[in-house]
Order: sequence, then structure tokens, then C-alpha cells
Amino acid sequence: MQVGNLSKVIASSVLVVFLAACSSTGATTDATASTQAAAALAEAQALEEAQATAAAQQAAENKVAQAAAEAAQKATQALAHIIYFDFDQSTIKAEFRTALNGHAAYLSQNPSARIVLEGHADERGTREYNIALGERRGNAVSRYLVVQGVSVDSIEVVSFGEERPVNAGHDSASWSENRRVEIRYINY
Amino acid sequence: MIRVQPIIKIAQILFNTRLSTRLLSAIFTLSLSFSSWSSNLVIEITQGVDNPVPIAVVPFNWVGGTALTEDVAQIVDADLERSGQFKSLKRSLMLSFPYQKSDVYFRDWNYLATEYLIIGKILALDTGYQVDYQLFDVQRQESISVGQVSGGHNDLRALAHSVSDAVYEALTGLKGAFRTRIAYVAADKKINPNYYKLLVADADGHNAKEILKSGQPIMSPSWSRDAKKLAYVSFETNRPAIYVQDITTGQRERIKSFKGINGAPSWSPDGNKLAMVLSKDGNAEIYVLDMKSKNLKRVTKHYGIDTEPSWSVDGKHILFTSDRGGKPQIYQVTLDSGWVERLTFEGDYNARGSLTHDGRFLVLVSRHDQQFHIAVQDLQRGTMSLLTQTNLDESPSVAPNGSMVIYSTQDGGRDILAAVSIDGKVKFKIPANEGVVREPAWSPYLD
Repeated sequence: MQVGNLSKVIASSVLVVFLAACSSTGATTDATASTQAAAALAEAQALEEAQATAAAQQAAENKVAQAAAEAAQKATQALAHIIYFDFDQSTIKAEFRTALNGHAAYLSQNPSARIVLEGHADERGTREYNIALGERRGNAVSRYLVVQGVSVDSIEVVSFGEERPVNAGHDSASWSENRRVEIRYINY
Repeated sequence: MIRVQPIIKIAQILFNTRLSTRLLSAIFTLSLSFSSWSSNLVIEITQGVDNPVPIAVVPFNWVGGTALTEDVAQIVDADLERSGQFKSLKRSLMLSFPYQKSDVYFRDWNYLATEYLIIGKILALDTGYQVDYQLFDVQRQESISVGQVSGGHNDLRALAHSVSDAVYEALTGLKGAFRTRIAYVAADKKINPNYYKLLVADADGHNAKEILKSGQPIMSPSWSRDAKKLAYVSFETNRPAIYVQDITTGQRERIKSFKGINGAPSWSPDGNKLAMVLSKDGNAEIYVLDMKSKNLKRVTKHYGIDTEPSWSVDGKHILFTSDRGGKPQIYQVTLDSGWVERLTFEGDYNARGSLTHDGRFLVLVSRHDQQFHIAVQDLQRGTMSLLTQTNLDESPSVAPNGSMVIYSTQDGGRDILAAVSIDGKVKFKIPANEGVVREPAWSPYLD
């Protein structure tokens, strides 16, 4: 982010110099024009030096960014990877927003990162309907992440319906563990 | 191949009414012997019709040198008992074992309160066996049906089921569905984390044969109309894809798959098309794939879930489950016009509808009082009735003659198969001898 901002600053300074040069032609005398040109040249040299410094800075910051990415990867591992849902529902509950925001921040800062959102349902209801329900849950998580700035290309949704329960029990406690979307990183 | 040649058949409307007016309850259990193949099915009859019709199936005569591998009369006996409509006489109580009409003493069978008597003999052919059978009305002392079936050396069980089909039809007026098959999915992580199997067994649970084994889920088996192929969903690539497999040769084809759902395959009545669910255009929608031209046509268009396609008898409509009205209900789309109408209104969860062979009854999964049951809706009268009282019942599949519905349910915490007659009077459980079994699909007639 900081690297990006710096190059924007440099770009806008060049633009100011260029505009100054344009406005100097025609309306002013040659003498003043050459003085201004000399000043512009000096400024351009200064700018080159600034750019060199910026490049060095950028290299340093790349290192920082890489370290930050590693830290972020660790950070995503610390985040919840399973989002739970109510029966026949795909609404994301408020308690999972912090975790999802964390994943979103990481994914948008790391465009090469890829995730699979595995949608699951509990055993109640029919199997193929539950496949569709699992996908709807996966899509709900996907949309949430995209709204937070994640590229839709870095997300894939695969629904397993009720076929892969984490808890094989047949009671409401087991069912609530099975109604879920699992966030799986396939590339960090 | 098996040939069936009914020689004499008398209209049996009289017997139909006799069968359906019984009023007492009968509970009996039938145990069958099985080979050691895992995930074999075991049938336990839990409820039969009130006052089933007493019959006797006499051991079939065999004059060949070595003992036969199958007891044909015993298979016929078990088939008829499994229908829930008959109660057979124990062999130990029989006074004689006749195999031709001249040896039948009707007075003896009448004394044993037998209403119908089945006798037969097995003949060796160069190519296999021929089974001759004859059905008698004991009180009238007359033959109702005579016939013979023949088949290869490994077809004795199939021949027995053909005899059962003929006898059942003579007695009830309804074509028998004993010589059919059941496809089902077996899965049990306790046995093996990579244990998902697709199996095919005879309708009586015998001859279980593994079609596919995988470490990832297998779902939604659907029979082709000639009962030779199965379409199913496999997650073996970690993504769902639809496969079509020849159950005899094992040869299989992966249907072109798309991003997202590839599910719920269902063969059209003419056998040329496969309805399926894809979510490639955003969410679950019904599509029809022409198996010859490979032309794919989208059938539904709604932001709600549209799934579980099932064809009408004439192939002009597709029934499906949709939550477009807020909760899952059964709808029907007319393929020509795209016109959609809702079929179910009772209850807040109706799904996976399919029709009986005559198109009259809609069999489905329906939630009542937070429990999932198998239900049937009479499309002429518009009334819905529950066929099961257990919970978590799903995947109903109707026999090709419309008499029985096989489904999956829970029993003692594990998935088993079970069957119920379309009138709810006959019930039996079909647990596996090992592991859990689910998603039964009853085959069409084999020929």
C-alpha cells in the first residue's frame, strides 16, 4: 500500500513539472523561459534522485511486505476457517464477520492466494437439495469476501451437501456442526 | 437371456378383491442366507397386509444328477412373502410334494387352509435350465396359471423371480417386480475413511455387485430405461461430476462437467436424454442433455434453488424441487412451453418428487412436525398421505409396477434401506450386513 502511494506521489510531481513547462511557452519571454527550463531541469534531476531512493525504499519495503505476507498467512491460520449456518439458511451471522474480514484483507493483499469454499449441509432434507443449499452457503461467503475487495477469481465454491458431515450424530448439536462453509487455502 | 411363456391366464379380478379386504394384522420376519460380500442387504418384513393370503410353494422337482445351487421354490416363496400380501405354508407342514397336477390332492391343501398352491419342476437344458410352474386355486380345484421360463446356467435365481412375477400377476392383476434390481450407495467411515461404494443387487438383496468404489462421495444413482446403465454423481476428482456406467461391462463415460454443481441425473422415459442440475449460470438450475447430439438445454430460470428433476411418464414434463416460493416444494415444468406450476401445497418442506408408472401418484419426501417422512400425493384427488412414521426418511424410489417404494431411513443411528407399499400397509427393513446403505434406486423391468 505504501509503495503504491509513493509512486503516485512521484507521478503527480512529474505531471506538475510538465504542466509548468507547458504554461511557460508562448506567453513569457525567452529569458524567463530558459530560467524556468533550467529550474525544471534541476527539478527533474532531483526527481531522478528521488526515484532512485524510492526504488531502494521499495526493495526494502518489498522485504517488509514479504514478511508481512508471512505474518498474514500465519494470521489467516489463526482466523476461524469454518463459518456456521442456521437450518435451511445461508445468512452470514455477525459473529463470523471478524474472521471473514481477516481472510478478505489477506486475500486482497495477496492476489496469488486461492481459496476453495466448501459448502455443507446437515443430514435433514433431501441430498440433492442439500447440495444446492451447500452451494448457496458457499456463494454467500464468496459474495461477502468479494464485497470486502477480494477478487472473485481467487475463490471457488464446491458444495458437498450432506455427504461429508464432521459429526456423524443425529441430534441438533451434531447438525449445527455440519451446517458450515469451510475455507480452504489451496495457495497462500 | 430369460424367456417367459405364460400358457394359461385367467382374469383374476375376483382374487384382487379377496386380497384387499383382509382386516387383521400379520407380522412376520423372513431371514435369508447371504454370501460374505460386504454391504449385502438383509430383508426383514416388519408389517404385512392385514390377514395375508395363505399360499403354499412346493419344492420344485429336479431330477438332475447334482444338487442345484439354488432352491427355486424357496426363492418364489420369499418373493411372495416379501410382497406382504401372502403368508406361505412351511414345508414341514406339507403332506406331499407334488410336481404335476395328477399328484395334487386338493383336499389335503384345503385341510392346511392353503388358498393357492404353486408346484413346479426344473429341467436341464444344454444352455441352462427350464422351470415349469403351475398355480392352483385350492378351493375351486383348478389351475389358474401354467407357464415355463428358461435361462442360462447362472440364471436360476432370475428364473425363480420370473416365476414369482408370473404368479403375482395371476393373483393380483399387477405385473410383478421381483426380477428387478436395486442400486444403492454404501458408506461408512468407521469401516474405512475411503469407503464409498455404488452397488447393484437383485431386488431381494442377493447378488450384490460393486459398481464403483471411491474415497469421495458417490450420489444420486439413476437407472437408464433399459436397466443396463447407471448415471450417478461422483466427487472422485474433488469436484462433482456426472458419470454414465454400463453395469455389465463397467465401461463408463464422464458427462461434460461445469464449474459448480453437476448433479441429480435423471433419464428420460425414451432413454435418450438426461435431465440434470448445473449451477454454471449462477445457481442450481435444471438442464436437459440430449445424449446423442450432446445438445444441452436449460429448462428452469430462477434465482431460487431448482433441483431433483424427475420426468413425467410421457416425457413432456419435468417435476423438480424449488424453493422459489420460500420453502422447498414440488413444481412441474412443461418442456415445450416452459410453463411452471406448483404441485404441492401441504407442509413447508416437500422435495424429491417422482411419479408412479401410471402417473397417478407423486411420491416425495415431506416434513411434518419437524420430521422427514415418505409421503404420497394422489394427483387425481389432490390428497397427501404419509407412508412412513420414522424420521430422516429420504431418497424414495418407486418399483416399476408402482406397488412399493424403497427409501433410506435411520435405524438405531445408522442408515438403512426400507420399503413400504404405496398404500402404506406393507413395510420391510433392508439393512446392510455391514456399514450404512442409502440412496436406493429401483430399476425398471429388466426386459
